[in-house]
Amino acid sequence: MEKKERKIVTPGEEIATTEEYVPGRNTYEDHGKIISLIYGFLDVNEKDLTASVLPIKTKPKIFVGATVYGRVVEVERGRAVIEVSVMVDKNNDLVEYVAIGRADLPRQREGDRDSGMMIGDLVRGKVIGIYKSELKIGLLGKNLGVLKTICPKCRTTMIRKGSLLFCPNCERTESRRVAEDYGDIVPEGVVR
Amino acid sequence: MGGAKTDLKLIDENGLRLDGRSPNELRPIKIQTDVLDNADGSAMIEWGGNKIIASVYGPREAYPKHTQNMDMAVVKARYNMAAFSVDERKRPGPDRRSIEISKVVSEALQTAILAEQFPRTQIDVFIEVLQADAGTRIAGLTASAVALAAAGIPMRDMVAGCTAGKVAGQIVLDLGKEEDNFGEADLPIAQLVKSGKIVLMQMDGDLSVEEFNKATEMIDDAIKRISEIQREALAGKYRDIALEEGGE
Repeated sequence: MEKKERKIVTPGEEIATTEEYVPGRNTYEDHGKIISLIYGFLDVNEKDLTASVLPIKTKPKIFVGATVYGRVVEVERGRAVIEVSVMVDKNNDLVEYVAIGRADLPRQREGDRDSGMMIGDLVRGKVIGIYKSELKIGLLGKNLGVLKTICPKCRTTMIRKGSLLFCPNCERTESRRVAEDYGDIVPEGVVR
Repeated sequence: MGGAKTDLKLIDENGLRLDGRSPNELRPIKIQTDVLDNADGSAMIEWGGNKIIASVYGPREAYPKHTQNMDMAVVKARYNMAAFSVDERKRPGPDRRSIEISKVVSEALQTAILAEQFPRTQIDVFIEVLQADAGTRIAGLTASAVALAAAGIPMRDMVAGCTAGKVAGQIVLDLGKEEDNFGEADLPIAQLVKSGKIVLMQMDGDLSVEEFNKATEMIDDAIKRISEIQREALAGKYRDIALEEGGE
């Protein structure tokens, strides 16, 4: 199949006339001309005779049920604030998505040292609610929870030992709400 | 500006300027888009000796809340010159000049942006001058328009600008540093590229009506060339992904 170049248009560019087409998305009409409003790809639909412009950069749309990755930035009583930086979209691709999420932590006794999460933990969660300024993140699931944590004493990456996390350097143990594949993921690389 | 005296011969016997340009010749312009990862859109412009980065963030909820406009987005441009951008160290932070430029650039961009689509929001445009060599406000504005387009913000038209001025009694385009300092007049103009509407015009010094008309004609012509460079910068970046499978 041969490759065809899609036309890139910039704001203010005349893309068609209203005699030929109807102004579609991201366009406006001015004295019989259809003008592009954004920088993107020209999309002319010969079926419904519309001329539109498709944005080059699209912001990923979050949805309930999406898997997100982030870092714990605050642990309040029974709640963790997570800085979400990546989501898995509907095509199963990792895409950059920046948001603040809150997750309820497992119930614990008063004065319990282990809150299930600590600041700096890398976590995987599922979106269970979308609010105006934040996401509600669920951590109930086999593969949800902490993916990587470091020792609060010596900053060495902790390894899993039974149901606890163990620091190979200072031999400290910690308890976390860990994901099933804790330690298998190397959180490095570029996310698009 | 202001016609400071100099021994420099700003225009020689052959009608050429200090840097060897003819009166209606632009300095070399290079624009690069998406130079910053964390911005929604960004552009870097190298215009002669100017090196400027423009970055766009938003539209996002306007803060402080009293700045919100219920009907449209507010464009907040901030022009800033780095302390090391000029020969003699510039005291960091906003000054009268940068506040003025921020204001005129905000107003110029506000005209172009379809702000009605984003009520109660602000669109931040940061213009950081890393190296200054005359004409930074226009270069910053030209880069900002590219950054806005790269951020996917709807605009009625692209904005581009250029300066003209009077040097050694002659009207010349795109003043260089010495011409700006020792010339007799300086006229920066920015327009909406397709419609030709003027969105920024300032003048320092005196020009007669004929000289003014000649300067605006030169600028009109230069803006067409600059807009092509803007377009090329935007399209060039995505030329690879513009190739799609198939075709009619």
